[in-house]
Amino acid sequence: MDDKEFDSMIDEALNIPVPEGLAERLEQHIDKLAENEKKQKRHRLTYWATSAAAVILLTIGIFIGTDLQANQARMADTYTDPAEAAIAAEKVLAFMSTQLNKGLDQVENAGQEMEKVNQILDKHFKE
Amino acid sequence: MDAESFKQLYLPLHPRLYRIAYALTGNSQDAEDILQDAYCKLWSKRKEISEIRNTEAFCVTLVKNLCYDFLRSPRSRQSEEIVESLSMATGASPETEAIEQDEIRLIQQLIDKLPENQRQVIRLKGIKDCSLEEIEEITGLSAVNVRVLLSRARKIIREQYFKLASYG
Repeated sequence: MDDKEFDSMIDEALNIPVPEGLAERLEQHIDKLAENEKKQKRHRLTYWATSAAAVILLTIGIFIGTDLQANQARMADTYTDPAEAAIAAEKVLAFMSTQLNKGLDQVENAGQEMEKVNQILDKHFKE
Repeated sequence: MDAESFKQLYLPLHPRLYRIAYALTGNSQDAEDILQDAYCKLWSKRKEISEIRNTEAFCVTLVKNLCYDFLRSPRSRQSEEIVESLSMATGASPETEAIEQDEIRLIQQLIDKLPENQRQVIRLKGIKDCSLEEIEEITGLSAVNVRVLLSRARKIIREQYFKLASYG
């Protein structure tokens, strides 16, 4: 056997056959990768939609809670207990009475002063 | 890029990629596993690599890198052990094949027994359209080294073949 013949045999021995069905197996593998990717995308979308809904609900909840608190604070300016309301009203009226009396005293004093001034003036005019 | 376009672009490359993976690993199952990994990576990066002009060269480089990663891994050593144990279990050996005078199979087994770098280079040379420049690119060896390894490999195969043939 000469060199050329032997080299041909080596070349033939080096001819690597592709396994049967390899193309189909690779195609199925790619299809599976594509399918898994679609599933992951759907899961991500569901995750983000759920998170967004939770944030919105939480925001609404906080808003309603804050509003209720504010309402409760306003309602503290009135009284639900009649006895308490009566005591508070009495105190207010007493305070108003004190202030009013002070004012009346000042008015009376001013009146007396004016009387004195009128008497002096009358005396001078008569003279 | 959808699955159909991806398959049209990359699937036709699989025979050549398989032969390169087999040339480097020497094992059919390992070569197929590497090819599956390669297509998985190509799929996950299909948007980034859509701009690449020479997709075949890119795929060859990808397969080459996966092969060398595999050869460095513990999985590779397990594969070698399995191959050796199978060979021992069946009693198949170059000597047995020589007796049966199956010339092509004998040469294939002699190729399997070559040192790793000679085996890889001669197998890559056996792939159609695989130029010396491409072998240099895949193996990282210089043109001179590739030629020397090819020459030595053929010489060893010839010597072993005729040595065994003379026993028959």
